Amino acid sequence: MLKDITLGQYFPGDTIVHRLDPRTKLLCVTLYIAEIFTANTVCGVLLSYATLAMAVILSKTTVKQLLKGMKPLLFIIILTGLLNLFYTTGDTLVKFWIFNITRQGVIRSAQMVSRIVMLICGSFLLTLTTSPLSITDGLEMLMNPLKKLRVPVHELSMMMSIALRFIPTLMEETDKIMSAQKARGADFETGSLFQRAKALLPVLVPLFVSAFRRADELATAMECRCYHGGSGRTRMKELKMESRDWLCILLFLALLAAVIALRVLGI
Amino acid sequence: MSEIRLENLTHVYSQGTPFEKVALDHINLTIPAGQLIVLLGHTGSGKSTLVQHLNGLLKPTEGRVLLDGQDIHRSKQALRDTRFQVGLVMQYPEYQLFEETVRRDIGFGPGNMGLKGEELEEHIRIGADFAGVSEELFELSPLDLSGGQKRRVAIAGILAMEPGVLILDEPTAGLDPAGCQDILENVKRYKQETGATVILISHDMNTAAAIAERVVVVRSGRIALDGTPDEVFAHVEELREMGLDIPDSTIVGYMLKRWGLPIPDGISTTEELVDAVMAVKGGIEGC
Repeated sequence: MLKDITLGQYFPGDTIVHRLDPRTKLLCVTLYIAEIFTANTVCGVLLSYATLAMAVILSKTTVKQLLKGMKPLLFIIILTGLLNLFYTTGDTLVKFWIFNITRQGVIRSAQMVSRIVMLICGSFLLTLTTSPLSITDGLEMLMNPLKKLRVPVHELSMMMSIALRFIPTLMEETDKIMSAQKARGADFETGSLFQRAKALLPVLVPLFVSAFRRADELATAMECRCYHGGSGRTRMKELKMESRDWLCILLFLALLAAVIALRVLGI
Repeated sequence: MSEIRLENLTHVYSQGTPFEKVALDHINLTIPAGQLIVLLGHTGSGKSTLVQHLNGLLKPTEGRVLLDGQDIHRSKQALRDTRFQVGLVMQYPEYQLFEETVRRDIGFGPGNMGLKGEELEEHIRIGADFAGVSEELFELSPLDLSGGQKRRVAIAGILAMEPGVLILDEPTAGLDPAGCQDILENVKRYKQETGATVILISHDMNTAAAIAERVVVVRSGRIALDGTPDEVFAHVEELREMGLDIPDSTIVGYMLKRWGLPIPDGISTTEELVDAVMAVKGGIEGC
């Protein structure tokens, strides 16, 4: 069903990871990504994996969920692994037919696959434990300094919030219109690609009509409540950094420092 | 003319996630051919989920939907045939209009059935006539019509397929009283002239009581009450507890009875109420 494709697979929960401030989580994911790409030694990579495992366990995420999140990118992961495995020159380990597997190739391939897997899992954990709206809120606050450079931070984040807010609505609407047209005998499943694209017309036209209608209504509703941009606007849910947030950021800074140290030392 | 039978129909939304919700819970229901049945129930009771199973839009998690004794999910072709045989008018159907002209929009369903030329035109005319869409509107864009007209065009799009079972999910929601009356009259006429089975979901108890041959009340995915309007509306307290409205006449009868007048239970229409009151009056004058 269409409903299953949601942007950001937010999974409500009440763990320490869920309760962290979205800014903390955004910063930590950024630090973690830096950590992954700095780690080039066995110890460094293992430390990165350990960091991920800690976050997974604390957020009570199941391995099944993680695998589900990785599924769409499985092809890229495998392709990267294979390309690195076969196309790295160095000391030959195994040789058959036209393939030549080298020691360096194995190491490199493991490293690249690890990086991608950790990258996906790390960012997936963020969207899994943080609702899209708090992510946007967090982003707006983090980008606040850019306002000095006249970047329309508030407007951008408002657009993003509205877009995110309407994804489920439009999904639901698409579902409804598809059902209605199916009830009139529309067939979306058979026929050539061209026929199927054409069959979507009875869905897209009403969908666009209603999207425009909704946008219009929303604009009116916002104006009725005197919305006039970001200046002087207060929020109902103030984001507040607590000691656990600072601790978390410190921890990730320490981890990054450790990985850098390992890289410099070469162990 | 088709009979629908539901056997142990169960539907669970988002199974295996924290959002899991049992929408229908082992429903058994037989709707004989040619019956006009009104489904009542509070918002979220499962009415809409129930009717979406009848033409195979939703697949049961458990149980079967039988149309004239045969499972509608037995094959892809059967499912497609079911869609034409069981016409479903969804909630706010005017949002599904998409064609450039009213004529072409009404013809979308029959066109999908494979009809062409004169036969297609005939179906469009029949559908428009039953739904009360005048032929002057045929060449206009459906998006330029008024809300009530759009609703009628959308209903015409279903009626043009001449389904043997017609399902309407709150067809009168958001319309003015005259528009409601109009649409219900048209539905009644369609049933009388084609002998179709009609299933109507409604919130308006007065119209429900006035046109229903049978009333089924759904509550949290189960059938709570099932019977003639008089039988169902005799359960005034139960209906109130479910947060449902009660037809005006039923309420008046119920109050009069509580005051000690010999009014029978389960009055659902104005006529019945008048008769009952007249009978009481006659009784009093008689002695």
